[in-house]
Amino acid sequence: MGKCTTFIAYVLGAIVFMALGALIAGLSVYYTREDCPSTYTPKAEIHAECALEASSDGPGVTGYIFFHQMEGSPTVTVEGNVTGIAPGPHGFHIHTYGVIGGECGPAEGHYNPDGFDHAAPTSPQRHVGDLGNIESVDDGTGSGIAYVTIVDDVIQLYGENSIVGRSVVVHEGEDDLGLGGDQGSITTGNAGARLACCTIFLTSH
Amino acid sequence: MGKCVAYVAAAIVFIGIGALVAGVCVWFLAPRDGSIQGIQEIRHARCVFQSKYGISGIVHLEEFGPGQNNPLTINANISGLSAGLHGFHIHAFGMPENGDCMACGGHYNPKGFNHSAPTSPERHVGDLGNINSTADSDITIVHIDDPIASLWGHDSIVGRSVVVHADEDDFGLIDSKESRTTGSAGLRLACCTIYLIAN
Repeated sequence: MGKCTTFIAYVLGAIVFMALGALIAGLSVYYTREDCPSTYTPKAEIHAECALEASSDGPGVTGYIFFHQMEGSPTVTVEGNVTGIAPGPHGFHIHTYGVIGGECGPAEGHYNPDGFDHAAPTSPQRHVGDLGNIESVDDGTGSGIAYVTIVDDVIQLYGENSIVGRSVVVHEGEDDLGLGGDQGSITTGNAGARLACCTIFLTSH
Repeated sequence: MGKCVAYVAAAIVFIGIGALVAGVCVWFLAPRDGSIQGIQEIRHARCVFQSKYGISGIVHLEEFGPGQNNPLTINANISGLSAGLHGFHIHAFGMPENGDCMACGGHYNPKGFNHSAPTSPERHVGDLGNINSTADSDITIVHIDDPIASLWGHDSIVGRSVVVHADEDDFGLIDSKESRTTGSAGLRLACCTIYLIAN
């Protein structure tokens, strides 16, 4: 009995000292990490926008794309429309850099911070910028309009993988989603010329 | 005596184990933006002014990151400014395609501080102070190294805007609401969206 009590005392002592150590270590790590948030900030909704400008390859192609994300939620909704675009599917991607004045070349490749191959938006391994295709339908005047409604958990409007300050590019052809079996397919989806592009910027609404 | 030494040794060992476990737990559970480990790279951004008042110019921004200890370097050449000091700030939102600088919102201020001087520890992230135009006809050359505004992380200024004002920024030193929010820098002469570029 006496032995047992002593043993319990040892165990209790060990637990107390471990807790003490844990407290010291926890506090020291917490205070030396510079990115630990020290104040609580309420969750905000983040809004962004992109006003498409036609490139020399896509005269007449225009439109507005809007992005919304609740801070703390991974889900980004993308909505808007693209007008003046031939009926059919068109590759629709986030490219690495921003653009100005419909000069889509400097946007460079799909935004791909993880170094994956090009793929479908539903693929677990894809470019962050891989939003797939949008479908243009005949608007009755011989031209086409594509309504964009995309919900995506990979593109983000803040932090790592943020697409803000980068660009939306609308392509002439269909994105083959990486299934084409050639080098172009796993880099660009063989979606062809860049008809229109725009820089994604933050807005109040 | 021997027992006493053993107790102390045991206590030290248990504190050590506790510290290790807790440290590892905090390390893995704490939020991070990749600023502890990971490769530092340089990020470049650009802003091309639009103006109804004949101002033109390009702002080039660059900063190593991720991490919070790297200064943001801002270089700009701006033409069309009248001689004197002009408020120069990062505003909360980008510039829409119609060039409306009012849509850029107020100074970018994620921490909720009052407007202040660029050297103040408590300031708007967007408080870059004034730029000095030496003569009406000259190109104003701007060079700023700023410790607070950043192209990286949660409070990144990418996708927001640079605004050049008509008047001098008073750094929030006048006892008025205007001074504490805008620095009374007046009209927005020119603005532009900050976007990422290759180099």
